[in-house]
Parts: sequence; structure tokens; C-alpha cells
Amino acid sequence: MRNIILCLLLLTGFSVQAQELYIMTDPASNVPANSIGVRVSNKLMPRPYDNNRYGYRVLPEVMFGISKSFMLRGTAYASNMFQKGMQFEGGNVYAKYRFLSIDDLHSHFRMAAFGKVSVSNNPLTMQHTRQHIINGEPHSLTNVYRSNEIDLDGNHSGFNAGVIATQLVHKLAVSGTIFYTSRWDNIDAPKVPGISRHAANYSLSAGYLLLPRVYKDYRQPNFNIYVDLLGASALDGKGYYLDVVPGIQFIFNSISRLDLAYRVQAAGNMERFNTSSWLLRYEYNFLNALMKKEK
Amino acid sequence: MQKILIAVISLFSFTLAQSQIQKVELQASGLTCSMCSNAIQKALSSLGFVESVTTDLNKNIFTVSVKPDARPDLDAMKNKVEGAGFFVANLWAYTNFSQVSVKNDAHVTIDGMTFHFMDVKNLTLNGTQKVKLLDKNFVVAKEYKKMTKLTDMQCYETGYMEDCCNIGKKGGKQRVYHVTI
Repeated sequence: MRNIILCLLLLTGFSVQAQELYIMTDPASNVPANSIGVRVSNKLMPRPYDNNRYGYRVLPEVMFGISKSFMLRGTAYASNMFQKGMQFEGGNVYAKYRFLSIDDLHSHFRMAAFGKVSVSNNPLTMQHTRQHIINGEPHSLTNVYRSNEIDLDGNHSGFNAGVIATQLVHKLAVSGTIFYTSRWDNIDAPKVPGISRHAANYSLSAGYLLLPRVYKDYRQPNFNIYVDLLGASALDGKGYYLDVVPGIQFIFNSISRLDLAYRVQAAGNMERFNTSSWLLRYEYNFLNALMKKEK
Repeated sequence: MQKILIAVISLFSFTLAQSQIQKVELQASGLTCSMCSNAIQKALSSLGFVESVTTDLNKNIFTVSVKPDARPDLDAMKNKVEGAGFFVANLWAYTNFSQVSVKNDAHVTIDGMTFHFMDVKNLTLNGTQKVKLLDKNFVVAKEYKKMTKLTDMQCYETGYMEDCCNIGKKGGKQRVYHVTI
């Protein structure tokens, strides 16, 4: 009993101020059972064939909280990364199952397994042909850009599978992910030999609630800051990279969120289409959407 | 005078042990933001016997008012919290008692609900009491482990009437709420 009182006293002293609504990764925690979430993610990425002018990809998503420990998410992609004008590229399905949860009053440790299958119709290379006049003769020069970064959020068909561990202690929520990624041939795309097919991926994410310091009601906006480290090593000797992603997040009415993040390579030797990108995402949740109201 | 008369009459008509849960406070664990609290609040509100839910966002305590004449299903409330992705760390049921005598580590059936009082002195309960649930998944794991030392009865493990608790049917499916005051 004394412990409970002590816990309560501690809890009133400081509210838990960690955040685990990570921007670039998924936490081991699930979306609420019976909820439907919709998201629109917007990515700006420099196009190497276009003087690194930004190309745009849009990713509409829908998430389902099937049960307290199982969720599904479907994502579609369209972009102008490989050609002029926006084009539908494909989509992926992501599933996550929480298999471990050790909770205390103001800390928890959770683990989940996940997998994703992606289908993309994009070409495997970006090409740029320039016309030159050399000694009065017209010449064309084609630059080919390749990427060994397996991207199951637009560029490539394939699958990944792995585990997530999330630890919350007082004010800090840290989450680590490790997964294997395999690339399949893209649909309707010419095969290009020598592009990486297998990678080991890992990530580390941390989040912190800056505002509000004290909650008054659900309508109060929250302001969170995040940092993600995203790494990959090709398992067929095609290099590695480690990206760092600082991000900010607003939560409105405790039901929707807005994320902004900048991803940039911190280290690496992998051939990639781009080593930096911007992400802007909006998410809205419909709680209890998958259930009937009890009488 | 009339009031006194009614009071006296009602006192006699309630010589049978009666209890009613009017309000439940529960504290959820594992939350990280108001978005999580909102998910719990909406999930609890969807229960048929719930009249309203108010939240202390800083302590993650949800105060659930029960509809008059409805009996709250405490397991359903726990399931709603877990469905939202969290756990119950504390649950207090504000229960109305009238002339209920309780003994430590013993069962008492009041108005169709079976309570198993733990960590209490022998006493007679009257009026509204704040009763704390001690069942598995209604307290944090550490506290549950600690409380298991206070009883030899198997029902604390299962939450249901077992052979050990030689009241009623053998191995019946009667829910036993383990509580303290």
C-alpha cells in the first residue's frame, strides 16, 4: 500500500513526458483496437537526373486496429520521381503483432514482430539524356543513376520482416528496430543486373514531449520532437548507409497529428538516388470505428 | 417526520446485504500522450453501462460514472483499456454497502457479486466505500505478485471460484473480485 501511495506521489510530481508516435519508424505499441487511421505522407526528394531539383511522392495510407495486439496498414504511392508528371507506382501492406508487453505505472517495455510486402512498377534506374554539339556534330549522352537502397515505400517491390522493441522510462521513449529486406523484380520494369537484393536494416528512435508541460484538456495541442537513426547494410556487398532524421510533431485535439522531418545521410558508401529528403505527414484517427456501440 | 419514517422503512427492507457500484476510477499505465488517453476515454465511453467518463490527463486517471441501475462489468472495462493498447494499474470501485460484514481473506457475496477481501481487518461496511481491485491485470505485475502472498486461495490466480473456495459450485465460473479497502 505504501508503494502505491509513493507511486501516486511520484506521478503527480511529474507527468510522463515521453513520446513514441515516431515519425520514421513504428513503435512496438499498436494502434488502438477497433480504430481506423488515415494518413497522407508527402515526400520531397532531389532527383539526381534533374540537377537535384525536388521530385514529389505522395503516400496515402489507411490503418486498422484489428485487435489490441494486431494492426494492418495499406499504403499507395504516386510520384514524379522517374518521369515528368505524377504517376501511380504501386503500394504496400504492413502488418504488426505485439507479442510482449511488460508494463509498470510509468514505464513499459514492448516487443512486436512486423512484415511488409511492396509492389512497385517503377524502373530500377533513373536516366537522363542530354544533347551535345561537339565539333558541329550532335551527340547524345545518357547518364544512368542506380540505387542499391531497397525502398519498399515507393521504389521497389519486395518484402521485409523484423522485430521492434520499445522502452519507455519516465521522460524518454526509445525504440529499436531490426529487420531483413529483400527486393523482388519490379512489375513491368526491365531487369537491371547488379542492383542489391538483400539488406539488413536497423533503426533507433527517440521522442520527447516539449509542450504542454501540464495537460489541461484533450484539445490542447502537443508539441513533440524526435530523432531517428535509420541504417541499412546491403548483404550482397553493395555498401551501407546511416541516416539521421530530426523531426517535429504536433498533435491536435488528441485525434490527429502533423509530422515534419528532414532525413539526411550521416555516413555511408552506398549508391543511392538521394541522400536527403523531406517528409510532411498528416494523420487522423477514427476511434471505435470498427465496433458497434453496446447497449 | 416522513423522511425519518422512510429512512427507517428502507433500513428494514435492506436487511439483506446490498451493494452497488456507482462510480469507478481507474488509472492506466503505459501512456505517453493525450492521444493515448483519448483512445481509452472513447473506448470506455462505448460501454453500455457507462454514463460518462472524465479524465485527469496528467495522472491518467479515468473517472467512470455508471448509469443508474446498471451494474458495471469491471472486466469489460479492463478489456477496453487493453484494447486501446494500455493496461490498468489501479482500479477503485466506489461501492455502496449496507450492513456488510467482511473478514480478511474470505468471500462475501453481495447483490450477486462475489468479493474476496484481502489485506483488511474484520469490519462491517456501510455507506459508500472506495474499494480497490487486486485482481491480475487490475494492478501492476509487482503489486499482484506481492498480494499473492496474502492468500492461499487459488481464485486469486484465476479470478473465478475454484475448488479451494468451498462456497457454491465446485470449479464454477462465478467471478470473484479480489478487493481491499
